[in-house]
Amino acid sequence: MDNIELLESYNSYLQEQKANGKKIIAYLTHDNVPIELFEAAGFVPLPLIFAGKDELMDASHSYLPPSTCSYAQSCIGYFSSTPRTHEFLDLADYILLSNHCVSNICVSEILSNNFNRKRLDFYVSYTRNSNALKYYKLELKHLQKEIEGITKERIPDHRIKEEIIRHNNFKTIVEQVSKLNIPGSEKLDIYQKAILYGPAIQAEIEEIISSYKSNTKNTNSTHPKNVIFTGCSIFINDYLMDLIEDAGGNIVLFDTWIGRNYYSQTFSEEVIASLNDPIDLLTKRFENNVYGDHCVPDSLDNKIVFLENYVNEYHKKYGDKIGVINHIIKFCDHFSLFQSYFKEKLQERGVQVLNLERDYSRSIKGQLSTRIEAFMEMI
Amino acid sequence: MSIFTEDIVNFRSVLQLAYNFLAGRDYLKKKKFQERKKLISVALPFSDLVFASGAVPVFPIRMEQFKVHSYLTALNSATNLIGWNLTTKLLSFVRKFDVLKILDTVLDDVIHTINDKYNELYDLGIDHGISSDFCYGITGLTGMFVSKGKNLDANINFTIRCSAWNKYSETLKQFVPRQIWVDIPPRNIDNALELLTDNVSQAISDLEEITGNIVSDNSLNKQFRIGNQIKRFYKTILYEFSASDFYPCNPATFSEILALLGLSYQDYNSDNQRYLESFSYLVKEMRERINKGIGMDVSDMPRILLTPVFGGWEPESHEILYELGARTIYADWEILNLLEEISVSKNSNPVEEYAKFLLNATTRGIGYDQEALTDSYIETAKALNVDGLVFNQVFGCHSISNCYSLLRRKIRNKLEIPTTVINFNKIGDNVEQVKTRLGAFMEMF
Amino acid sequence: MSELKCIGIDIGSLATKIVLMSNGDMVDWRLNRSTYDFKRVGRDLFDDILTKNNLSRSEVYVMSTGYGRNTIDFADDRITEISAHARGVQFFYPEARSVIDIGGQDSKAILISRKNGNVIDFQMNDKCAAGTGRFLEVMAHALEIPIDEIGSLALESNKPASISSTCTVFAESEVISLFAQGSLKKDIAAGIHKSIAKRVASMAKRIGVEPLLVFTGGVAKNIAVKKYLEKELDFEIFQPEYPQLTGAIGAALIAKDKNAN
Repeated sequence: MDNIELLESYNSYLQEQKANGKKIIAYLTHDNVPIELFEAAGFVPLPLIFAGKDELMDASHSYLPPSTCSYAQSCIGYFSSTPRTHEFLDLADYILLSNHCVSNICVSEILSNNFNRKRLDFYVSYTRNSNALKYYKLELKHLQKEIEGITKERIPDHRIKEEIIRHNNFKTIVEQVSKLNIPGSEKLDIYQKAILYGPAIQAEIEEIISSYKSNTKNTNSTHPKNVIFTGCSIFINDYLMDLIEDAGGNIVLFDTWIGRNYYSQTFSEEVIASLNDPIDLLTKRFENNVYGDHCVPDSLDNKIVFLENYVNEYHKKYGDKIGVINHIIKFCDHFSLFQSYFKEKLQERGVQVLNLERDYSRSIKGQLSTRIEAFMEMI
Repeated sequence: MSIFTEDIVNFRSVLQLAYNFLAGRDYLKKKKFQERKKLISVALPFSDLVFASGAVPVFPIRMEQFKVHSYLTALNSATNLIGWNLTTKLLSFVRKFDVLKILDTVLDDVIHTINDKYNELYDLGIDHGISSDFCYGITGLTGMFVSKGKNLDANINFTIRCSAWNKYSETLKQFVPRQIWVDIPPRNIDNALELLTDNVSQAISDLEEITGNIVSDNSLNKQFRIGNQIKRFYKTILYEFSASDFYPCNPATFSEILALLGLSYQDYNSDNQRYLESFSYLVKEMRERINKGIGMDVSDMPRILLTPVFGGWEPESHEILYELGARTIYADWEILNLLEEISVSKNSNPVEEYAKFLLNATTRGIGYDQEALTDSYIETAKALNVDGLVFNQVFGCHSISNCYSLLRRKIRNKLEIPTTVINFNKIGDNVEQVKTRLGAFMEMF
Repeated sequence: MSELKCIGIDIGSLATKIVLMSNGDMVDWRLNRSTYDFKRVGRDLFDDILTKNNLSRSEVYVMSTGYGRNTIDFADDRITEISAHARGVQFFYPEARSVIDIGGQDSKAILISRKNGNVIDFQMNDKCAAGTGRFLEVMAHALEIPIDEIGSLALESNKPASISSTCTVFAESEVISLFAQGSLKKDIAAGIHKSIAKRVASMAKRIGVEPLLVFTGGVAKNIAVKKYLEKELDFEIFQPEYPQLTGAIGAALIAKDKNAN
């Protein structure tokens, strides 16, 4: 069901920011985007984490062939379809072009060229070797210069560092959500909201956590089939979460960018203290992002090992052997290509996996439901 | 010597290239087991470092068993016996064929043989679990590794902007445990070249470890010199002959030669010197034929650039265009700036020169974004003086195929030549649709 | 006390099937086209089977399955067709280890545990209709022959035409161009069956199907698909007596197991 309330309040939030003279940078989901840099310069990041629909995908076809990832298609649809699905997208001043995947490049470029949004560039190497880290630093410095060129003001190092610390603290708080004994859908709502607003809603998240902590009801027990969710993130207003819970499933871990890949990217206080240059800190984070799906050659194996360990730990702790749903948005370069390899490797380790490939069309809902229910019956 | 025999002999280089492609399996077996050479897979034309290391670059389809046309076998036997000179044996064989059609027939058969194998390997890739939503190229390549990957000693992978390509490369370790990576920075900013040079050095060290050979500046420069000569010959064919009003053969055959060059250029048929000689012969023979007036007047046939084809295309396309009165040019490697020469001089650092080549291809050819890539299309189309452009949109390709809308706009604004798009999924999948589209396209002339 | 009678009702995209089981035996069954009104067709079949067997609603336990399983408001419980087919084939072949089910809109490959007969893995076709009953229907239409004759016609061919398209739309135009080139109907029909078998076998191989494999669903009645599937998989496959009823039988058996527990 559409989360109208969240989007309306987000619309008001962005309107307010805009009225205060802030510039907005929209970007396609990406776990290596240095949003701290934007915030240090006084910009508002607008992550495009909204689920697609048939109409949005259709609206992209004059720009992209239909064999493009459904999320990328929908991102074009947000801007090209009328009336706008999300009016606040009109408030975006800039589009960050990045190369998380090649569709990210194409879509950002199309949005910039066709919908009059100025473009900022941020490219990331495909490995994380020592030269790739140096290159990441170069890109960060370039992006900083580009932003400074817009504001005509230097971004002081201490401001960037303050933002890094602010986000770091916020993520540490969001991480606590993963440990709460609440249904997956409620965790997901919090993660989505956290990524949308960032530390601006820290107090609210803290309050939510504390209210959940005081409520001792074990909500997991109503969903006997606990699963891990990995692959592509579930975006705002996607019906997928409903299908999983209707089938009796409960997601205990979101091993996706909206989830673990977001809140686990933190630094210890020692690391923060040891690196004076904020650019070094951001680079360190890229270096530590061993599960990020952008990079080769080990991210896939790292993910497999992590999931195997998590399943085993969970088994030890709760006695349940949980399965893994690998969510693949159709035509996704990162998750679709290696789905068989991923499943095979995890199954060799005794972990049951459902490769759930789908686009955002309504017609596929019935079949998706069958797959999910059959998986729940299987585990 | 009769004109009849000259016709055949003067195109021996093409047949030799075809034979070397199809008979790769035996050749590679010899290299691996008798000469104890290391086989290293390459895809896209990135074979320089492997040659310089003394290993054998292999575009993996060449490890397959192909049905070699009987004419090619006879030609090779004759060559082995008494070299490429005209032989009685060869002549007696040749007379069995319709003379004017022989090159067309044999080449057509070669291209079909390769494509049948490609389809077979594509199916194998699907059986292995690659989603049918992925591009033909990556799926076919996966099938090649499923089939014969175990014979390889290593892979060399280059990161490019296509994320599916990079992820595909990551999965190759399931077939070939030893992987060598050259991470190419996406943009040429600040000291990116220095970083890439270091990455190339690291790849060279890996190759040294695998082969046990030392890769010296001399060995690199030697390879670059050979590579540069090949590139010059390749460009001669593209710019001089394909632009000419008189072709040394039927234009459909000419396109087939270009297709064969595109395929074989990826690993130079695993022997740089032999490939250089074949290329050199090819240019010589084409020129001689043109000078002697052997061939076909194509002045009234529009020049059509059909691209990109390296990720898979419908090989009937050039025949369809020929029947519709056009000639087809394939020039992918030129568009992607992979035919740029690598500077060789006494004072230069060859590792850095190679890095420059890679970075240039990334930023100007393959393109870090669609603007750069489409600019390269426009520049090449202009330089080749083509009359029209057919864009081959490969199903499941999210990199190049996605740039068509931008390319079409640029073609309208900058070149004002007719353009159309054809869709490709698998060889033979929608020939009828291709015919209809190309028919309508040719009506624009 | 007499054993509870169980009804399995399988609401497929093209056909609705219902079976009544008692003491592990199939007592009665019905089959009808699903039409647009799943609910009504299901209700009519249910009422009919109860009336003909002199049963009241309270005397039976109803398990629904299939595409429209959630639309059946008189069902006591529901189960996916994956689990239902896996259980159903074991009614006919207790040693079954794999299932290929080709229905109207979907095709599925299911792997059954040797240990306990449960599903251990499955794979379904994607949204595309290639490799489903719908594909056969479209092709039969293009060949202008009735759907139930296309299989036997295909078996007359010694030289199947090559249908390389994996997409229904492209394959249809390929069939038309084969006609234009003078190919025989029987060769085209054989090519079509070969193409379906290839696609389904490829999906099935991905989960490692093994003998004893049971072929279910409406398309299992087509002998040519069976023949080509066997060629592709390189082992013999088996069809139950009522391939279309397997899902409903499985649902009824699962209902029985559930009540026994």
